[in-house]
Amino acid sequence: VVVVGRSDPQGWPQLVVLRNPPSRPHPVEGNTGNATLTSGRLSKAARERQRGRLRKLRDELIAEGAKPGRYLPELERRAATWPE
Amino acid sequence: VSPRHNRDFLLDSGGVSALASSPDLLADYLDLLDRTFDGSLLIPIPVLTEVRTGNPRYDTPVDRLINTIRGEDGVYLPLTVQAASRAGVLRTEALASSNREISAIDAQIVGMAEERSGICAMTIVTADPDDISLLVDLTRRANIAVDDRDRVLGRERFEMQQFEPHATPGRTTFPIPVRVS
Repeated sequence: VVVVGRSDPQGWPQLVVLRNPPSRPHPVEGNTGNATLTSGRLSKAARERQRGRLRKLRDELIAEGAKPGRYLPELERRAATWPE
Repeated sequence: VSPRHNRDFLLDSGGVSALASSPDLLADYLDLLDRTFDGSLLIPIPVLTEVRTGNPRYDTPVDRLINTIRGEDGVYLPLTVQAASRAGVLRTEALASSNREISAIDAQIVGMAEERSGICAMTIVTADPDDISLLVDLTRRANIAVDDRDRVLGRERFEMQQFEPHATPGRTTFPIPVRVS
């Protein structure tokens, strides 16, 4: 994230623009604006990055003592009823 | 291996609280998403108003989940002018057909889900399934599901309510996160 802008003499910020680093693919499909998800889905690359972060979080939770499996059958049963 | 289904997930404040405060549930939810769906978890920006308190004891587990979802892309789901206007219509219709107060944020979340349901199927993870389902029904969109965290959590419902600072009107002290083994 690059912050562009500076305070005026009274101390109020004049302009702050958040941009994605040019090396990173934009996270929103079909959107070349800022990172706010105003339209479209997250791009496949951004979805994969989130998937990786969530996997890492799950591993951390288990390492900290979480016991997976307790809720999974009910979650799977419910998910099977969600309309496409 | 069956293909994963396209589906995005919106978390309301109850959804955030449930997942943030129950590592067992969060681990299972993440497993389900990873194996079954090609989609993303999304935090609607208005939800931040309900889940942030300024109290580290409450905010720390919430921030851990939100920051993981948000990641380096910094993506939140904003409330567009169209969704905000649509939420007003849905809330008015819901109030006319219900004797309950329908929160503006619930209507906004459903307006955002409706807006995005043209792109892919949606699931709203919520602690308020009655109001959210009423609003979703008014959209007449068949591909918006409502996942009631309390039905998954079962007996933990009471303890999870203790975790939500905004769940009880008139609460004067911050709640202590409760983990139920």
